Order: sequence, then C-alpha cells, then structure tokens
Amino acid sequence: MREQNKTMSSGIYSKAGNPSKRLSIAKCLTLQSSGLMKPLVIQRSLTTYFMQALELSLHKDVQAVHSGAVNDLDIDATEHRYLLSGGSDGSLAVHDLQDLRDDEHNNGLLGSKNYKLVCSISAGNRNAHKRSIETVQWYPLDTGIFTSSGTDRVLKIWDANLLKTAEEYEFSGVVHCHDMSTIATKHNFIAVGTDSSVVKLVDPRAGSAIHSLRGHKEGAVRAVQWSNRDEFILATGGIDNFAMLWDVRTAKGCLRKFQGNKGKKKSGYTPDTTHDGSVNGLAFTADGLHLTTIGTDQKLYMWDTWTGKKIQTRFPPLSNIKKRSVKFCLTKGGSENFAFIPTGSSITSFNVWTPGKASHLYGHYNSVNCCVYHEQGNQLISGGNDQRILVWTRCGDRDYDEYLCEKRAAMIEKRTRREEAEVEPLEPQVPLPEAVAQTLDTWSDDDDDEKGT
Amino acid sequence: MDGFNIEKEIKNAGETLNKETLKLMDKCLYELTTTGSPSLDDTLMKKFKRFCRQSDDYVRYAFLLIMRQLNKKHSEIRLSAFQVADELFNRSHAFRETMVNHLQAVLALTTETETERPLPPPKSAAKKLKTDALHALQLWHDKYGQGYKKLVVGYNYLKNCKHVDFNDIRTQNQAERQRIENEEKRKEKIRTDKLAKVLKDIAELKPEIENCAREAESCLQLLLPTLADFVIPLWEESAAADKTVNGSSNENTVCESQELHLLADGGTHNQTAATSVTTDSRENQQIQDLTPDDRQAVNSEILNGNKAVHETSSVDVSVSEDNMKATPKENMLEKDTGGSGKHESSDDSDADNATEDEYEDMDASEDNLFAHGLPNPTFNLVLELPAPGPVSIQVTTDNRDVVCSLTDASKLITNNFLPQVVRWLEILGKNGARSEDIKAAIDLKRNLEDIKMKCMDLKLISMEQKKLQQADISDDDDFEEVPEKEGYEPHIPQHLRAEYALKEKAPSLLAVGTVPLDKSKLVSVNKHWSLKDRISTDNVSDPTSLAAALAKIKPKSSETATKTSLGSSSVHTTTNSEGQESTTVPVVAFGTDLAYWETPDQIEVPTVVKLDSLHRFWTPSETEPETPSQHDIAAVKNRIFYFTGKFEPVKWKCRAMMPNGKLCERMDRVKCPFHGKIVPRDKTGKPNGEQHPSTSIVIPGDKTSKRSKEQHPSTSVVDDIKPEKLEGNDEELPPWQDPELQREIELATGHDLGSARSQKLLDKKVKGKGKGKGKGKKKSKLTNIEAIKNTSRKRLENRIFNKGSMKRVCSTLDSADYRRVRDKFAYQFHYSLQ
Repeated sequence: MREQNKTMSSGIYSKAGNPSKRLSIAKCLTLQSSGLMKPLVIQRSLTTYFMQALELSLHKDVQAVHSGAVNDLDIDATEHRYLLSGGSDGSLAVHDLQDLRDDEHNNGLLGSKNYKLVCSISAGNRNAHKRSIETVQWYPLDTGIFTSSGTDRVLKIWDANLLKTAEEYEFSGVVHCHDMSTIATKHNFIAVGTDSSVVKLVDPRAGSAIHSLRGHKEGAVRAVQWSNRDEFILATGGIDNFAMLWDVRTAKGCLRKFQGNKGKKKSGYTPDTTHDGSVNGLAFTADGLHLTTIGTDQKLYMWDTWTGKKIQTRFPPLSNIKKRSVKFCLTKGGSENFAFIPTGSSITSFNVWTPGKASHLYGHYNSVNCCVYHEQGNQLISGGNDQRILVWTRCGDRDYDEYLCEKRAAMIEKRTRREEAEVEPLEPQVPLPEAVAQTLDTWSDDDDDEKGT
Repeated sequence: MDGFNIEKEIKNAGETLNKETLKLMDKCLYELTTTGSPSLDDTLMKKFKRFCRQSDDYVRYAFLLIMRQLNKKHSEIRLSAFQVADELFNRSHAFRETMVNHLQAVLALTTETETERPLPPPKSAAKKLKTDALHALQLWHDKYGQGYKKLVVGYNYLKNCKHVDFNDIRTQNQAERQRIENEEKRKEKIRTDKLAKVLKDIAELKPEIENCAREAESCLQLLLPTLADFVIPLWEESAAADKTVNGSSNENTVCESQELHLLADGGTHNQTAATSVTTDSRENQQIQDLTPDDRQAVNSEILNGNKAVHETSSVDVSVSEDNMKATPKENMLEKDTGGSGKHESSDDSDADNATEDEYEDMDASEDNLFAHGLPNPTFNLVLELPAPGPVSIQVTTDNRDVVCSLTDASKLITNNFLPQVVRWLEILGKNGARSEDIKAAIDLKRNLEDIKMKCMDLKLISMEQKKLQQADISDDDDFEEVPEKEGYEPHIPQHLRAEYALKEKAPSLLAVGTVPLDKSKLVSVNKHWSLKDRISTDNVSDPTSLAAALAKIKPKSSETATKTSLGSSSVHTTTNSEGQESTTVPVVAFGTDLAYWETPDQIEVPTVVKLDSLHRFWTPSETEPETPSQHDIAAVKNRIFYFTGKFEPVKWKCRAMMPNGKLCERMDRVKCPFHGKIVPRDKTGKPNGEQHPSTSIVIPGDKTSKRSKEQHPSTSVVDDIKPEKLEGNDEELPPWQDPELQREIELATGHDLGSARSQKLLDKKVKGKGKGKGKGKKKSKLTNIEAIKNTSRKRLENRIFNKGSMKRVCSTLDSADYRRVRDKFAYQFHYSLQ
C-alpha cells in the first residue's frame, strides 16, 4: 500500500508540481468530482501551498510561559493537538493547538490570539529537570505519557495527567537526544544519545537500559532517530563525523555507515566520513527511504537508506550550525516537502527534492533552537533563545485580515442600511483595519513639491 | 543576519535597477552619513527620499545601502544612517518590511544588544545612537505594531530578555545595571568599613585628646588668668547699663562709625585715631562706656606688637579710674599709634612736628574747662580693652614647668590631634556618618582649635631667648644666616670699584622715580639725604658718575636711534622716552664699557694669573703676563639688555567648538592647548575661511616693531620697511592672518595690525582660487576616531610588536638558543672524545 502511494504521489508530483499556480482550487475540485483527480492529491497540494511563503503570524501566538530559551518542541502524534515544549531552565509546558483564544495581555493589539497553555512544570518544581532540557517527546500512542531528557543527565518519563515523573533513568553523561519509534509495535525502546559513544536503548517495560550499541568512536552521540519505515532500524549521528544505521536486533554492529565522499578525498589522512564535522541532526524523509543529515560543516546531505549512497543534489549551504543537536524538521504530508532548519537567528527552508534558493524566515531574536511543522494547522512552530515560541503561517494570515475587514464592512453597511432606510444610501466607507492601514506607504506631499522642482 | 550578505545583495539589486540612479543614491547617502553632525541635512534627505519614491525596489536598495553604512565602525556614521532609516521607516511599507525582517541585525548594530559587539568609538555619538534607536523602536512599536509582527516580537524581546526599560528611555540593560549595583555595594561596604574604623579610632583616642586639651587649658589658665577674673562685676554692670559691643567685627564697625561721629563733635581727636581704630577692627575689642551720662569715654587703645608692648592691661584700669587725667596721655598715645603707620623709626622729625602742633590745638580748646575742674561735655573717652590677644609671657623658673607642659600639649595638639580630628571629620562627612558622631567630632575640633589659637596668641619667651634679647635687643634675628655666595669676593679689584660703587647707587635712583615723596615732608629733610641734589652736585667730570653718563648719552641718542638694528632699538626706546616721563623709566646700572666710554682701547681685562707649576716652592721666577684675548675684551665691553616688552593682555578667545556644544573660553595668546592655534571662528565655532587652521595673531617681534614705529614717526623709515620684509617678501597673505580677526584685535587693543592690507590680499586670493579644498574638508567632518586610539601605549605597541622588530628579536633569541645548543653539543662531543 505504501509503495503504491509512493508511486502515485510521485506521479502526481511530476505532473502537477505546483498546483496552486497551475490549477486553481476550483478546477481541482471539479477534477476531483469528475474522478480525474484523487482527493489525496488535492489535499497534498494544498498542504504544500501552505508550506510556502511563511511569515510570522499576525494573529496566532503561543502563550508565553518560558523564562529561558526554548530548546525543543514536539506535537503529539495521536491528536496533533498538544504542543510540548522544553526550556533551558528545566521547565516544561503543554499548549493546546486547537484552543485559540483572544489574548488578554496583547499590549493593545487587536485581533491577536493565543494558543492557551494547558499545563506546565515550572523550573522550581520538585520533579522538574535541574538543568536545561535538550529533548522532549510525546509517547507516540498516547498523550498520557511524554519523555524528556537534558543536561542534568536524566531521562524522565512523565505522566502527563498527573504531571509527575513516572520513571527516571540516569546516565553518566549529558543526554543530547533521545527518540522513541513512532511506528513500533513489537518493542518500546527509547534510544538515548549521551556524551559517551555508546547508544543506549532503554526499555521502559524492563525499567532499565537493556541494550547498548557500540560503533561510534570516541565522543558524544548528538542525534538518534528511529526509522519511520522499519521499526527496528535506528539511525545515529555522532561527533566522530559518522552517521550510522543500526538494526537493533543484531548486536554485532552497525548496519551501515554513511560514506560518500570517496571521489573527493583530498589526502590520505582524512577518513571517508559522513560529514566533515560532527553529525548533529538526523531526519528520515516522509517515505522513510532517505535520511537527511546535518553536520557542523554547515551542510545537509541526503542518503539512500537502502544503498547507502548519497543523493547527488546540491542543497543550499546552511549557517550557524553549532555544536549541539539540531532540531530540524522535514514536512511529510505535502506533494512537495520542505525542510525547516534553525540556522542562527533565522530558519532556513527549502524544498527537499528540488532545492532551489533557500528562503530565510526572520523572526526570532537571538538563535532559533527548534522548529516543528504542524500540518493539521498548516503552521510552523519554532522556539528560540528569546524565550518565545513563534507561529509562522502563510503570508502571516493577511487573508484573515482581509476577511475581518470585509466582515466588518458588511456589518457596518447592514447597520447603516437599517438605520437610514429613507436617507439615500451613502457610499459606505470601508474602514481599514489597523494592521492594513499601517502597512500603507505614507510619502509626504512636501516631497512631492520637491519632486516637481 | 544569517544568509544575508549585504554586498552580494547590493550587487543583485543593482542588476535590475537604473545604474545611474543607484550611483546617485549611493553618493547621496554617503554624503548624508558622513556629515558627522547629530542631525540630518534636510535638502539631502529630501533628495534621497525622492530617489526612494520611484519604486519599492529602490527602497529595498536604500535599505541595503543603509545597512552597509550601519556596519561601518564609526558611531557618527551609524547614527546618521539610523536617522535616515527612521525617516524612511515612517514613509514606506516596503522599507518597513525589510527593516523589520532584519531588525535583529539593525538592533545589534544600533542598540548594543549583543555584548560582544559594542558600539564603535565616538562615545557621545554611540550613546545618542543607542537612546535614539530605542526611542525610535518604541515609537515604531506604538505606531506600526499591528502590521508587523516581528516588530512586536523584537520589542518584547528587548523588554523581556534584554530588560530594556522603555518607560525610562535612558535605557541601561541589565548587565550594566548589575554592574552599577555591584559597584555601589562594594563602595557601600568600603564606606561602612571606613566608618567603623574611624569610630573605633575616635573611641580610642578621644579620652587622650580630651586629657591633653584639659591639660593645655588648665596650663593656660594658670599662666594667664582671663580678664573676666578681675573685672567681672564692673563689666557686667556696664553691659547692662549700656550697649556694650564686643564680638564680631561687623558690630564693631557699626560701633566705630558712631564713635567717629562723636569724635568729630569733640574736634579734639584727629582722623588718625579713627583710622587706627578701623584698621584694628579685626581685633576683638571691648568698648566700655564708663560714664554714659557725660558722653565721655576714654578711648584707650593698646596696640601690641612692636610699638606698644610696654602698655599692659593694668594701665587701662588706671585710666578708667581717673579719666580726666588720662585724656592728654591718651591722646598722645593715639598720636603715636596712629602715626606709626607712616614714620618708620626714630628719624621722622616732621611727624614729631605735626604732633606738636596738634597738641597745642587741643590744649587750647580744653584748657578752659579743665581749669575749672569741669568735665568737657563734648569730650569722649572710649576705653577699649583688648582681648587677651598676643601676650608674651616670660618664662621664669616659677612657671617653667607649666610652660613646658603647655608647649608639649600644644605641640601634640597641633601636630597630631588636630590633623587627626580633621581627617576623621572628612571621612565621617564623606561616608555619611550619624549626625551625633559628626557633631562630637566637630566639638572636639573646635575645642582643639581654640586651644591652638590661644597658644599661638600667647608668645612664650623662653629663658634662653630672653637672655639673648637682653644682650642684643635689635632685630638681628630677622636676618638669616646665608651661606657665602659663590663667586663672592671680599676684595674688589681696583678697576671694578667704580662699578660696584655705582651699583649701590642704582636702587636709590630707582627710588626717586617710584616712591612719590611728600613735598612737605621733604622740606625738612636734610640736604644730605636728598638724592636729587646729590646728582646735580655730583662731579660731571668724573666719568664713573651717573651724571656724567647721562650727559654723555643725551646728545648721542638721536644718532643711535637711526643706526640701531632691531635688537638695539630697545635701547633708544628707553633713552628717548626718558625725556617725556623720566619717573617711570627703570635705570640700569652700567658697566665697564661706559666707564671707559671715551677711551675704549684702555679697557683692562681682569687677568688671571695661572700658576703653571703646582709645586709649593719651585715656581718660575716670573709669570709671563697673559695677553687678554679679544674674546675677553668683548666680554667686558659688551652689555646685555634684557628687553621684555610690554605686557599685552589677551583679548581674544579660542572659541573652538567643544563636545558639549559650547565654545572654548580659553584666552591664549597664540595657541590653545586643547584646540591648537587660535584661528578666527564664526558664531558656531567653525574656523572662518578655508585657510589652514594655523594662525599666530600677534608675534612679539611684530608687535615691538610696530610699537617702535608709532613712537618714532620721524626715524621710522628703516623700521617701517623691516617688518614688511620679515613677514613675507611676496604679496601673498600669510596663512595665519585673517583680516576680520585682525580688525577685531585692532579695535580691542588699538594697535594697527594691517587688517586692510590683508583683506585686500584675501580678496585677491579668493578670486584666484576656486576649488581644490573639498577633499580635506570631507574627512574632517567626522570625528576622527583614530585620534582617540593614538595613545602613547598604542604607539609603543606599534613600535614593539611590529613584524620587523619581532622578527629581529626572535632571530636574536633563536640564535642565542642555537648557540647554546651547539655549545652543549660541542662540549659533549669534547667529553665523549675523552
């Protein structure tokens, strides 16, 4: 089934690359009703449409809770509703992405709305992490559990309803990352990458780290990621510049090391590694056939997980990839998928398959730490060192502005009609919403005079 | 600014737009931002805005250009660029969008949000930039917050994360505030520590000080009982009866004016008494009106010091008892004291005469009533009892112990305790001690000072000194022992005698001019003392005498004047002006050349006998007389005159613009130590004209020549040309001359500096030259930040750490190392052979 889907999507992909431009929505709908186009295709193309031209949303905001940098974000996989965020001060917060309410503390701004906070664990809490949280993740099957780990060397499993830790696992080094498989049915492992080169597999049912994967050389493991195609496949990346693929059922060693620079070896000294710097980020593509890696050499590579070969596409160069794990995301549901990578104070985004020019999203002050794409809400959510979680939507919800404007105009028109029925209807003056009014040019007239001279 | 390269973007943007316009924009912005002034040029700004209006692409391009300027490492450029940005931000949506997109970069460059990227040098501009940027951000947020989300985010970011206080635009970020707080805490701690220490000290030392003070006081009491001890009842009575004025000098003067009035009524006292009273008003006087009904007062004034030491307080009492008798005596006393200001010692016969006269006057008026035994109704007698001021006490065997302990105590107080207390007070005051502590310390200090003053007033004459004084009453001790001067010869050679003799006379001659003597006094002066007579009667034939010298100079003066060069012109200035105002001319003693005026070839040079043989007995039979060299003769012949010129007060100011916006108020003659040579400047302090800013307005040589020109209109043919030639042979205006300033100075000083001429030259120059000064100007508009860096340390660093010297040092060290290694190896090799 998945194979079938894949071929289909790719077929449409080549046919209607950018439906928003080529085919209007109405036409797509008529095609669908006539059976010429599958609904999934329309859905995908629409999703893709919303992934482009992202801007800071004028109306949506996430209620501010963190008093430190926001280090990681995760949206639950079951309902796609709850946003989990972990801060550098050890605090955790859960926001409801379906509960958009008017902002009470909006600093006099009209029409701005907030995603309400559901619950939070502040930094002073007894159960909270003592130091910075590096990774947070929902339990894939339920919103009753989530996990978090951080520089206090502890991986915690939380009961989301009680907001208490159910289990704690302590490690010898800083926990850089952990991951639970989203598709696993036969196991329940949490892969943990720490300061040591050994990747630990924690089984919550057993209550301990039952398995360790040795293969990385000296140094920390900065990225772990379960495959979304095969539940036993795990990818890891470390500061030994290698990204590796493991089958957790075989204890002998890694399945594959990604090496692809054979042709470009400069001298005999440098080993053929995945990156020229440590591998800090890993992500499988939506179909699970490819793996993208990000290294401190400021590059993004894509690898074929079957053959282990590098995909020969030139990805735009990144910047400001620091020596910590990069929480970037690849979108899944669109006909064309995008990568959103936090690079310094901006988010770099480009099409994964046809990377042209990268676009940069400027909005955070100081550096961006993480971003996650919320496909059900067609929005990108990012967290950064400026203690904010920002929401990015297509064109920053200008359409909504216009809609509001029209609605208000209609309302006023109706009212005037009713009140002054006998008086000849005046040309209703459409008041511009302030947000629109503010975006108009105001060249002064005295400059005009100057112009004439 | 990730993935954002300004130069690249500018290049990209330039491809689609009109190249000419872009170039013009570039130039326009460059001019706008390099003015260095805190506000923008309006016309240029309008021009720039006109460019931007053409399309949004130009606006975006403008943003890139502004970003480029904002990246410059000069706060003035950044400030101007930010002001341009602010202007455009309020106009164009496109600009707002791009600006808001890159707001972080802009903020980093303008508000110092990143600690590792501080604002560049000119500090005042940087400060202004920061506050202005934050202020602008606040305004933008209020005005455009709804339309631009990132602006709001940025605003909140600064507010929440960087803790910028937008309500208080002075804006210190948290780090700064923290630092200040820490500093204050530290200071507070130091203060409290100091305070505690001082208080402890005070607690420790206070008993000791008080003991000492008590001791000194009791010693004083023993030595010199106060007046109050004797006359308490009388004094109190009189105080009740009449207004007794004592205390401050203010009240005293009032009292004295009354007194003056009374004295005038009486007509018996002359003015001198009153003056003597006023001059001594500083002294604490006690005036006792003993018989107020009769309006009689005995004015007995005892001056102490050199003149009236013999009068003691006991005299006062006697005077007050029989005031009638005291009157003439009292008067005499006043005469003495009043006249004492004028006459020096015993020699004044004229003063004696005067007193004699007044005596008679007074006697005539008083005799009538006095003969009848009646008190004179108009007669005033004011009795003034002086404060127990400087009283000298002789040290005898009786009181020696007391005096000893007193001196010890006073020494201890003045040398140790008083400075200590003063220091304490200082520390207490500075560190905000409690008022009680300070008050206690002040009381202590006052007490000590009181004792100190008393001890100082009390003149203690020790026994040894007394003996000495008896032996030699004259004020020999006024002369200090001076070591014998180098080159002092007790025996003056024959040929130099004349010179020495004249030298003695010179000061007396000076005195004739400077000290105006009263004719009436001079009448009685002995002829022998009159210097004028002596001069006239002196033998003119004697060539060494002053009269002869003057006689010789007079006819020659006109000749010398015509011949003189610039250096000797001063000579005839003095000689010539002698005729007009002989009194003010300083006369310089003349030397051997004048002595041998008529026979210049006979001048003897003081010969030095050189004993070649250093043996004690064996000497050559006759030492050959050394022939004086030409050089020696010249040394004797030549005379050196130091001409200092006349002091001209400086009447101009530097008037250079200072950073605080004021003009420099320094009044230097040629060069201001802060702003260089003084140049003419307009109202805003900018140098006038495009000349190089190097002007010396009045050079002394110039001035003297000018003055001499005024003084000798008849002989100035030569002189008049000279300064012209000196100043410049060509007909060009010297760079330091500015006609306007010259005119001003001329108006102020009344000297002709030739402003008209230089004005003409300036006009000519302006016509001739049109351009060619633009480049230098452009650079000078901005504050030179390199100048700040140009410290001595920097220069030394450049010297020491430059590549060449480093290399040299390294090579030297390397070679030394190498040599050591080589030697070591050689030694080892040597040993291994053995």
